[in-house]
Amino acid sequence: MNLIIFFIVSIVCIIFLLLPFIKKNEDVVENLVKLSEFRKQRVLMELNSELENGTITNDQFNELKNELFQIESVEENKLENVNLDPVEEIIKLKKKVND
Amino acid sequence: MTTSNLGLSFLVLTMNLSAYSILGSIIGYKLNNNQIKLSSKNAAYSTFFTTLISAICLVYAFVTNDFSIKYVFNHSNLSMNPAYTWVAMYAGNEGSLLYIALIISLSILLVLKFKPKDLIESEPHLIALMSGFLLFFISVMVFFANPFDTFQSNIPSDGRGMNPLLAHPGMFSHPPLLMAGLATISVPFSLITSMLLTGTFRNNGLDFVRTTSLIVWCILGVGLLLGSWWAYTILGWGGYWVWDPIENVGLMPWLVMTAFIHSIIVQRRRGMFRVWNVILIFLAFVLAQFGMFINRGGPVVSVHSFAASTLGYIFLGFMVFSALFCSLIFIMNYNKIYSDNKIESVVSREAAFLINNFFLLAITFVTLWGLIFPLINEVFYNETVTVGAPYYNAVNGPVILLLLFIMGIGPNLSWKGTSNSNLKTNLLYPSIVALFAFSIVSIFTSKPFMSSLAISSIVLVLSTILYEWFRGSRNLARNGTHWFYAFFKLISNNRKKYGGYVVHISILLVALGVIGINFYQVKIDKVVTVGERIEIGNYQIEIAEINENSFNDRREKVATFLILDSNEKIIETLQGNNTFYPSFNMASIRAAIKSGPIEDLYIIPSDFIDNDKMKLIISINPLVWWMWLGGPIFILGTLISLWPRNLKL
Repeated sequence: MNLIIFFIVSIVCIIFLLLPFIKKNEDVVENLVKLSEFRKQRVLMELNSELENGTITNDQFNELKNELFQIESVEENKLENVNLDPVEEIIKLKKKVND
Repeated sequence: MTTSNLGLSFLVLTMNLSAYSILGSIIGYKLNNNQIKLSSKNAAYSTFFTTLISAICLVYAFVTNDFSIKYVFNHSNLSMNPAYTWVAMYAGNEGSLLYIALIISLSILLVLKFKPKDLIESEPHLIALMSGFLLFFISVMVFFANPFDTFQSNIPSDGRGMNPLLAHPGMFSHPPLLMAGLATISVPFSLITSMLLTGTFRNNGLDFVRTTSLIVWCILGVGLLLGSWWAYTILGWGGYWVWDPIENVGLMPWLVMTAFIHSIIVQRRRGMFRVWNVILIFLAFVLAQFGMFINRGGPVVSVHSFAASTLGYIFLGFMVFSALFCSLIFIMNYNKIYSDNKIESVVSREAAFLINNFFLLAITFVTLWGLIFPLINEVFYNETVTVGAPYYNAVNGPVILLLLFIMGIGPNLSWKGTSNSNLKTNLLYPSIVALFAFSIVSIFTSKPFMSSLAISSIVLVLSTILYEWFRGSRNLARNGTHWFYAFFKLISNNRKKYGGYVVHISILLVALGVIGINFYQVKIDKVVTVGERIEIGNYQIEIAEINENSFNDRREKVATFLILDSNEKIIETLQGNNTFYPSFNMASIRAAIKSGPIEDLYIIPSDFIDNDKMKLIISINPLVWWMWLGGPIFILGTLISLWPRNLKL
């Protein structure tokens, strides 16, 4: 009986582990969309904070915001590789320039 | 396959799942492969169920008296009350490790299930960290402290029995809560570390960090308070807190967590104290590991090291590793966690929080120094030194008093700065009430100046809270709302803040008990014979009889006391006992207590000299009853504070 319990639970665990590879389900895409949305929000918050602190000007803010939305619209087509880093890099660069 | 084999097999399975979960998270993150990430998340989920089955196997072994398992043999016997099976499970080192692993795996499950979506970026790191922590405990069990280890031959027909000091109702909750509190500090630690590693430690997810920290802090706090209650009623120390090393290692992380849950509010509101918060949570985590080390074969002697083992060096190693890991993470990320703002005024709420943090850490380090000083002395000077309660009371007492004072002032200050008119409005009446209390106590009692100061500080804090509630309710009641309803609406509208106030009231109640016993206790120590009467305070105590009972596992001497009032009328009959357990060579003393809001009459039958003669320690402990009331109020305040915004109160 104990052996059967162990065997069944082990099999269930293995199936549970393999499930994401067997079924490339909607969860994956959904998670990627969430991640993309979250990172967009984060960059926007960062931009707002930089604008409030005076690190970037209004024009730079609008320019970077547009860039962010452009990148996002491109990335929507290839969710496997969400990459919003260019905007984050630009923010860092602007900060260095202002310092 | 026997129950022991099944239990161990599931431990090994959990170990593999944890290892897979760590590797999967790291590889999935590096390769940006979501299938691997999800698979490792599923592995982390599974660890709870496999650990649970392992724990069920151990409980089942206890229920069925399977003495072929060494752990069951060592911690139960046939005459053990079945109700204590749950206690027996964590009564020793191996079982308590399994219990801790179960709690960690449950916290992994709950955190992954309920974490907000803005923590999705740091999820792989979170899984790797929490699974790593679980892996450590599971590996210790599999390789060094197997709870399912069996006798190869000569299987005993009965067990040795459970540690007699653990046969107390408080044991159903005190050790599990304390262990759970220490273990789950890993949750806010892992959350913040994972956010640091992914560069997302700004304001995202801070509410979740605060929620988990509050839960952990509440669990640890209630565990400590229940431990005090247990010590008060069973250990026969005559007190609730003796600054014992095991007590101290539970207190220190709680103090640091108290500082953390205050300063995280400042980060949320003002974007400040980021570096400070990281330091606090790292310190709390390392101190929790220090607690595990002291509990399990640490080098200091304690009156209640029930889980003591020879595994001290493993936990010492893990503590050192944790400290190095935290230092490395901190150094690598220090530049990324700058604060958005600075303290603009000393008379501001954020400044009060900082001072509060400073005092809490001061108490922590004083306690830590008292704990490690004997060790340092022994190692470097080969001298045995004991640091006792007088040191802690003398050094920590004034700091606790200052902390109480800040507790009264702080909540009345505004963010960024407080105007004089605000200060006057908020503090004038409470200060007058506190001064009045100070005068009354100073005039009518002959106790030290410190006691008057302590009581007036309690009055100050309480009156500021009540005054704020009064003003808030009055404003809400202006449009005709009933006062009672207005008060509940006030609390409901700002649950985080006013839940915190309720917790402050509970702390005041605990402080009241501490003041009562430290400054106003009356104590006598006497050898008495049956029929003799002793007078203490307004009571007369008559020793009615002494009975001796023998059981399989213990010899019990029970003393019956008649409590008479000043008119010689019997008001209560109390019993206290002194029980000796030969197989443990240990005595358990249960005090006779008449408890009430004004004072406790506390009788310890410390030694039975003859059939009709015994040594008694009798004391009147004023206000201790309020300390135990503080526990439920502490939980209530935390629950109000945690109650979600979208749920009606």
